[in-house]
Amino acid sequence: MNKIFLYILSWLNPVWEALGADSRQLHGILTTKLTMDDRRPSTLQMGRQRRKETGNSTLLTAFISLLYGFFMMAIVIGMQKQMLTGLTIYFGMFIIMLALTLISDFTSVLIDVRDNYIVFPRPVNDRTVLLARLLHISVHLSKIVIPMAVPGIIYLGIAYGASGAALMILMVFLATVLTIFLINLVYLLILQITTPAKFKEIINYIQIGFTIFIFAFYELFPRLMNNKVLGNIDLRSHHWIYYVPPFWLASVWSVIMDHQFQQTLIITAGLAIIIPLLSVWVVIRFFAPSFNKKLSSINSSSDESKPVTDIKVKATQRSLPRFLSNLLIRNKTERAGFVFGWKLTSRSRDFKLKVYPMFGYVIVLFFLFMFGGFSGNTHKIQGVDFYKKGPGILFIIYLCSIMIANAVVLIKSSDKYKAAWVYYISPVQKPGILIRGMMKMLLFKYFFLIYFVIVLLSLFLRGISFLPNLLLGLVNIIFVSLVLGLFYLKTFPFSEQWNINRSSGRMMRSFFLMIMVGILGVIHYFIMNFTIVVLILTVLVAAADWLLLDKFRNISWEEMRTE
Amino acid sequence: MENSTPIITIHNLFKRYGNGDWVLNGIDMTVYPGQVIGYIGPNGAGKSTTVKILTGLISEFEGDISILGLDLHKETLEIKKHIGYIPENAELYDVLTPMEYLQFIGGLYNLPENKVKERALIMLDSFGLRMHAHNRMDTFSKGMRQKVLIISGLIHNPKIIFMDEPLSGLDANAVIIVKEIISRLAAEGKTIFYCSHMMDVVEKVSDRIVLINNGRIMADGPFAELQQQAQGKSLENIFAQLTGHSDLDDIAGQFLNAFENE
Repeated sequence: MNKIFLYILSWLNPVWEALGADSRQLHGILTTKLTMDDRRPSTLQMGRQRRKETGNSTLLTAFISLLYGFFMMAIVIGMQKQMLTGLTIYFGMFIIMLALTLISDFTSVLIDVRDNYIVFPRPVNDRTVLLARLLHISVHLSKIVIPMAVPGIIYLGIAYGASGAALMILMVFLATVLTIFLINLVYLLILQITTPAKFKEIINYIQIGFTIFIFAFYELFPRLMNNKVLGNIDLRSHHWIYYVPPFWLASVWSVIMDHQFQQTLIITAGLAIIIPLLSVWVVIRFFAPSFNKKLSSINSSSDESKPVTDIKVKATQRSLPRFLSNLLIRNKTERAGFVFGWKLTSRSRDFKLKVYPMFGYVIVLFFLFMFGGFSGNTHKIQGVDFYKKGPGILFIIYLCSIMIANAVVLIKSSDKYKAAWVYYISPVQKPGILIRGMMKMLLFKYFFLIYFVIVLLSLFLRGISFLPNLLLGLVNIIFVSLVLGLFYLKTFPFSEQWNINRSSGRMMRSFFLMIMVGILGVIHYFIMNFTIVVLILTVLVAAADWLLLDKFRNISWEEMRTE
Repeated sequence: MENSTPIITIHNLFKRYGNGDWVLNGIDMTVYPGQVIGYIGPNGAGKSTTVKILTGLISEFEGDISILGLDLHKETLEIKKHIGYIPENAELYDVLTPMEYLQFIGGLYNLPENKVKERALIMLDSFGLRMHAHNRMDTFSKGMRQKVLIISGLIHNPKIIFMDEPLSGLDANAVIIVKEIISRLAAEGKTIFYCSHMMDVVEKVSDRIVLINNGRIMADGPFAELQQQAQGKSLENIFAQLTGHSDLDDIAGQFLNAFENE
């Protein structure tokens, strides 16, 4: 695909020359950038196959976009009688998907600070750089936009003839322009309110949000499609809809194809055409220059950290992990493990990107059970009742094990795994003490805090009598985590490369985990209403937890796996 | 050499970022072809800012700079063609192979592809990297990356070369090779700006030393001359003296005092 593009590019050489660029340099820059893109995995792949050969990452992105395109087409088909509503949803999803993909996958491409050192010292003129950047963006856009839009365009082409398809192509183009404008706005806003160093941090959170969005979408979408309510809503009864760009785009269709000439619709249709064109002008005229200036400052100012003048204040500042570890742990090595693990998990982006989406999944599933329940159970217990009377709370409790389990397994990997030499020069007699601290940290940070929220929620929903069940849930999940920890924490945290070829082990692990959690959950479900049994079991499992936690202490150097 | 035409003249160079303090406080310098300039100074003295200005990375500055007889303000592109830059932090597009990367760089200078390939192979070979010419650089060690970086700065046979800690990460053999390359390039009439904190290397490599501190030139001349003025001290000591730290021994003492309360 890249080759075809580059061929067309060289075919248009006179155009680039006329625009003031050096066509050979342009070709060189784009070839290089596209090759690099192909070797870089995208977030859509959830970062699971890092460092693996990803020459096909372009194809995969296109395939996922195509899939999404079919989903969107299905909405339009499902709402044939309500084209205005259907198309509004279509373009809403289109813009969200495009924006999120571009921000999460493309930011590193757009903002490659290495350009400052590699391209800028060479005799390349500004026009060439600008043109290369624009063309690079267009290539990426087309890889996402074309597969995403093609199903819709084909469907409308079949249903309404060539004019329908043509109009759709125009609207997709307008939607794309609008999205780029929005992204520019977001970038500028972020750069305006934060330091460039924090910029990457924020992008990281957008990526996390994106993975949750994708998950929620694939889970909720089929349910929404079945929901009869959605099919009958008339968007125009809501006033805010007139301010939403997807509605503008949809109204273009209504005016031209359905010949609806209400004044408001004509105005919004006009907006759909004027605003994107206006935004192109704004981007070129105002955004691009200040954006480039900001970009170059990302490098120069984040290179050297400014000296903190109030060092004393910073050093003695009481932090939550320090406070907790002083409270919970007496051994200094164990404390160190706790605090160190806490800080590192908070600050390493790759860890957060893989673990935090789990929180989102649990929240999504929470609502999923509430609306529509899960398979088979749809009509018996619905809505809040699923939590009030049914086994809903138990589900959520045991779902929490996903988060802690993920954290336990992933904590051993890091991009900066080479820094792990510090463990090996330390005079710690048994590494287990350090690991015990980490384990406690993981339990605290990735389980207790969430569980506390669940406790409050379920006490509110089910009353104080549910407390024994909550305790049993607590000790059960601690039990699962500890068993998992004894298996997986035989490596130092942040000491291994993100694993490449161990997907088989991964399957086994999730299988094992699911069975264990499942068994405990089912047992819990059956004894849920016998408070005495619950209490006895709680005490027994708590004792088991205690013994397991003690086992961590004895992990010796010989048991540690080294690469 | 002094009577040939200068290759770089810097007159009254001032620079500050935004409304901050002046990073460069009136630099004046005239450089002749074939000189190897050891450009030294403490951290934050303005070394890398000078280099960034001279390589065209920073275009906003006050003062007059002419390189190869061209005005840096006006003819940046023409000047860039004759400049080689080997930056300090080994930034490379490391998902590429050395060959792909060098082809890319060669393309930016509009060099013919087979010429780049020919040069690249010879250069990679002399650094012992020929076997790795088609491996991706993300698996390379720091030294290997540094070698590729050096090649990428020299592949277009520039007239002026800026090097920032070019020896970092290199093994002893490569260090000898690079030093020899520097002196031969200078013999051919190339001008080299050598920025480093390794005083012993600077002392040996360069035939003129420029020391800056707080954006001002504190000393400028051949090492022998500086040594004479400072009564035969080493460059390290001259450096300490001129940058205001003659009491470095005391500071070391203070450092060790940290153990005292044990």
